[in-house]
Amino acid sequence: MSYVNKEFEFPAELLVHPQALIGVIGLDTLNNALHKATWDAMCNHRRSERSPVQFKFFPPTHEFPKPKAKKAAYELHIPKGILKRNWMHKHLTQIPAVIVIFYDLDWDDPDWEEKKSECVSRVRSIRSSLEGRNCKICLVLIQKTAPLPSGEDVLGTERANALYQAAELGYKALFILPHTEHLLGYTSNLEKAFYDLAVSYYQMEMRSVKSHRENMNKTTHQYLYVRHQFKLGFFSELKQDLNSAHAYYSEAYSNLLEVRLSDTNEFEVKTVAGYIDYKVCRVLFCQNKPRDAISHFKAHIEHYKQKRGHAHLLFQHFAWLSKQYSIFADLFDEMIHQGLPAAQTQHPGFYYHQAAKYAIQRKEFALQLCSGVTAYPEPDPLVGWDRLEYYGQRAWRPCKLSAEPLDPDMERLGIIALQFVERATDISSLIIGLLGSAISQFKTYRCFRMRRRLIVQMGEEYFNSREYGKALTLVMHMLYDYRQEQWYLIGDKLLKSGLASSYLTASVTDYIQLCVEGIGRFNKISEASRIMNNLIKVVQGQVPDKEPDIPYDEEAKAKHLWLTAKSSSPVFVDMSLFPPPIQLKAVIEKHEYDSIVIKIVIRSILPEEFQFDCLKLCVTCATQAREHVVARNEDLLFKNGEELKEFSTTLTPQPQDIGKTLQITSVLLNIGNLEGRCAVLKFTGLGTDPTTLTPELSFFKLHQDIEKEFCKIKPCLTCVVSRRSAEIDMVIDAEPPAIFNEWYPIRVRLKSRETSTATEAVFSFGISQGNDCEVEDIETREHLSLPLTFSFGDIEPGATFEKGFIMKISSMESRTVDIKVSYNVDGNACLIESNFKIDVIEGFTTSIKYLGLLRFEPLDNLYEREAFNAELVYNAQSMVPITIHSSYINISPWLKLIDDYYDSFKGLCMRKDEVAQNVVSLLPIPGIPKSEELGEIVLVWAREGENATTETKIKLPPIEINETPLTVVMKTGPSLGTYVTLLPVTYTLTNHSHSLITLSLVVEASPSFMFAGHKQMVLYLQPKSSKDLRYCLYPLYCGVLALPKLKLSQIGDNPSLPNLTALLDRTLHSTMYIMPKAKGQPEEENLPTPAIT
Amino acid sequence: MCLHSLVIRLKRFLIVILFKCQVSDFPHASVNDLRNINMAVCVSLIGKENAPKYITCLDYEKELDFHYKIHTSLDIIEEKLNSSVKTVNDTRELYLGLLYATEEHKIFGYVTNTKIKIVIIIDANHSSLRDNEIRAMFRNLHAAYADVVCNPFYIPGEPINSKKFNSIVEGMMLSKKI
Repeated sequence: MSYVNKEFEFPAELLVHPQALIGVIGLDTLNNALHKATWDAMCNHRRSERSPVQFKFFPPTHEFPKPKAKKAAYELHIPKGILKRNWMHKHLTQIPAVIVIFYDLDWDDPDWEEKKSECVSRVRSIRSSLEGRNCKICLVLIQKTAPLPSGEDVLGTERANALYQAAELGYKALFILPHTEHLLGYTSNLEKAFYDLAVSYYQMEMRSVKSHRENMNKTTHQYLYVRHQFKLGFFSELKQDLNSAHAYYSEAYSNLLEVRLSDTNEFEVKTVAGYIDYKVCRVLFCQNKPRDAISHFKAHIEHYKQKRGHAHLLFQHFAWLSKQYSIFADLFDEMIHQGLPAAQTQHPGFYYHQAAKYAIQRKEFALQLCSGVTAYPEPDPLVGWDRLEYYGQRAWRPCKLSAEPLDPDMERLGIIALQFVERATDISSLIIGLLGSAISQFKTYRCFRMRRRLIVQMGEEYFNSREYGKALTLVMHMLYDYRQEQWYLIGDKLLKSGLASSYLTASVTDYIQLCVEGIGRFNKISEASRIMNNLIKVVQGQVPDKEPDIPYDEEAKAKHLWLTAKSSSPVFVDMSLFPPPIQLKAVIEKHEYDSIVIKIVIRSILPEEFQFDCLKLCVTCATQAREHVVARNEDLLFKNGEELKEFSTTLTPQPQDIGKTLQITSVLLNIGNLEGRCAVLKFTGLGTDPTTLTPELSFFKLHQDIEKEFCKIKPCLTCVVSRRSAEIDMVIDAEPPAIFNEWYPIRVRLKSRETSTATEAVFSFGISQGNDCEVEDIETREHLSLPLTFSFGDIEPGATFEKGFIMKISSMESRTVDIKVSYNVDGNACLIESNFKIDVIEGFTTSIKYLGLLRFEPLDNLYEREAFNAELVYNAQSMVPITIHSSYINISPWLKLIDDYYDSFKGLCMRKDEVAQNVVSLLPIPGIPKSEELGEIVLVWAREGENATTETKIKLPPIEINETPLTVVMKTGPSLGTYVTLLPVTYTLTNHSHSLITLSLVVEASPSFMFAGHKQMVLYLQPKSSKDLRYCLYPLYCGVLALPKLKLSQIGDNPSLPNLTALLDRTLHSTMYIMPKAKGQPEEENLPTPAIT
Repeated sequence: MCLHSLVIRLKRFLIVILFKCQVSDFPHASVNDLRNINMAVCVSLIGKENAPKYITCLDYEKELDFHYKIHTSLDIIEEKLNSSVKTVNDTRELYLGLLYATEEHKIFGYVTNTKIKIVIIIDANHSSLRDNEIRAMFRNLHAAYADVVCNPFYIPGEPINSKKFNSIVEGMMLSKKI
């Protein structure tokens, strides 16, 4: 590092937080794993809760620095400087407060005596090497066995006593470190003990420093007052006593303030003042008193700001100031990292910034003062500057007191040497570094504008240090922000410096951009036309004239660069960012399916006449971008001054654009056509001026002619490309709602009204919701899959088409049907589109009930060999009439139809709330399995007028069918009785079981009949046999008469027999219709069948 | 066109008069405030969108520096506005106090309810500075600004160019050293 920077650097030992130094001897970390573990436990993984000590390894034969001889007479001693350069370093790294000797020794070691004496001799040699110092010595025995509880280990106690007596150590200076698994705990305990010893050592040192005080006087020992207080402060800090450290440091500082400043000691005092101030601030920060620290620092600066020192070394004063600020900022930042809160108005950034400001001043003065120095003086007055005994002294007169007169020649040479060195110093990078630190701080504390300002300053500094490329980058980044917030005074400044930087680096892209902006920005005609001319030169491939305010010697280099400068691609200038010299509005005037008319209006305010190269329109439509050239060369000649030009162009939309949004994305104005030197001005087409914050109020402004005309134009950048309207009629014949499960018909009819043939006609049919439908062609019943498309081919004018579908919907949710016909006519695509919603309704409900054969009473269960009726009830539900085309029955083989199935539904047309019934009589065959499906009745139906029928199967509901051991069948001779005519009746009783049935039979008399036969008897029915009981009835009246009632009751206990009364009720007629006797008619048997009720 | 714009202006004039009648919280300069307080080295008025509407300073050589100072003070104003919205309910306190101080200058801020910011830079050496004097300056400026806005020929959002406003500001500026 160069001399000057090093001189202002704060010593590293000043910047650290001091910790008590513990010297370690006797650990062989290389070869002994135990020792290494101990060392690691002490030195590594140091956490905040551990004692504030630092360990340092010393070899056993280390030579410690010898203490100086005591001064005989203090009154005669004259200090040669304030703070010694090596003092802090010595106490931080060379003189341990405590020296710890490690030694492997177990109490029961076989070679105890031998090792003991070796150990003692080691202690003695260390003690002798520390002769004259008050360092504490401790002995740590590393033992392999775990310690016994105190008092029990007699041998240990005895040998310990022997050891510390022999080594002349205090009882408390002997420690045992057993190597067990709790190593970390032991070492941290040891550390605490060491720390306590260290504190008492530093206490002792402080006492010895204080003891000098009585021998000192203010006239000769002024420096010592400072030095001693500083030492006390430092020792207090080493023993972590921050309160007293602060007190001592403050006293040292105020003692220093009393020192009379002269040319000789000014630099030394200022240097030391900086160090002590740093210590005071650091301690205050650590005590969590940031306000006090800041105010102390401010007072410090305030006091020394005026002490400028030697006029020829003024730059050193500013270097000093800059360093004070930057080191304070570093400290502040460090404390923030340790948890100190900072605010937006008080954070390290301000101090870095101030440091940078002073560094800039330093640079200015250095430039003034050092420019005349050309040669380094001989002999070198700075020789040995890094080995001076005291801080802040001049290398050519070390240890000189302020009272002594200066050697003018030496002084002059020294100054020249410093000036020479300063001249060679790169202060710019220092400034940039400080600005960089400030920038990151301001960013952290959300001061974005401050950050921008600092970046600009950084850019200026780069410019000054001739790094134009970097300066340009920074300026280009910041320009936008200032422009956006309309701080034009700053923006224009940046614009100028950007122009200069880009000129010097021959950056075509940036130069063109800045020129275009500059033409619009600079109101002075001369300035604007100079820039305009430069722009013209650039695009014509020439070298532009030089920018003002650039270093004279850089000009030739820049011109040379411009000879070959090219941009890699055309330079795009976004004209919406700054107040442009050219404004442009685009208007879509008319948009139809075959043409879109766009008007482009350009208002220019140019200081020079200029011809643009090409005007292009960029549009996007259907995600496809297109470019369209509107005008070229001669049409684009603009005169100087204000001018308004109008252009019009027509776009033809393409078939795929139809229905899509067409947007004018940008309008491009090309400048120049040389490769690498052409620019493209990019306009949005809105023509807005970014300088007006409230465009809605712009009409309150007074505008003159051209501006007024331009203002009145309303931009329009988007339109939807319309479609040619279709001339084919589409009629959809469908009658919603659809009935659940029916074949729902949809018919589409097309009739062309086009005057010419429609080509590529495509019909498509789709269902947008609930795609679970079957679709068939209405004519061919061919199955179709969705979505379906048919190609019609060409449709002649006047032609008609018809297309029909049937659709079966097997769930109740609504669907939407989309029908589209697309075709081309005369190159234009047309589309007919229709969609409609179909609701689904229930067509009908059905139910089947079982009824008794004779009396139609509802049955809970059925019996084998006993016939029953099944009744189907049909309830129409839909508004749409339904025709039942037919119905039929499928029955199980275990059932028998008593008569043929009579289809009473056939041809019925039912409307909502109408009911139809049909009854069929069935007989279960004995042995029918329990789970037998009884069969189903099938209805074949369709909506009225349609032929595509649907079959709906209605199952006979399951019912319990019981076995019957006994059946009773009644038979009458003729089916009908005749008044006073004999009527024979036979009751046949059959036993179907395998056991004997014994019954008692009673026939109750009826008033309507006389009868002959068994009136009361006991009946024995053999297994699998039957018995006939014959009766002759003689009707006494006409009409419906109650028959004599047959009653059966069981004799004995037969659990298999059913309820006999219920059985008879089910199977026997209770009445009979008796006809009157016809006069003159013979008694005939073949009369109509009896009407049984 | 001329007639048209005149009609619009007349309408606006009426609206502004109505507005002025309705606004009651708007600070009228009292007689006390009008005594000559001249300590500012720079006075600025910044619009809602942080664009400068009016900046004047004593030393035109340092104009750019003042612009930077005012611009950077907007950071602190914005921060104060963001935080005070959440904590302080009293939206009628428009005075923001000292924004920041450099070695040479002290910068004070004030924000109207319509987010017009007023920033005044005072010479740091001007020690006889009282808080209520600063407040009075701000109130006077606010009143003067309200008068500017009430002028039907002033377009809101445009930079201020008013003789009356200028003379009020000049009265506040530190008298030039001769």
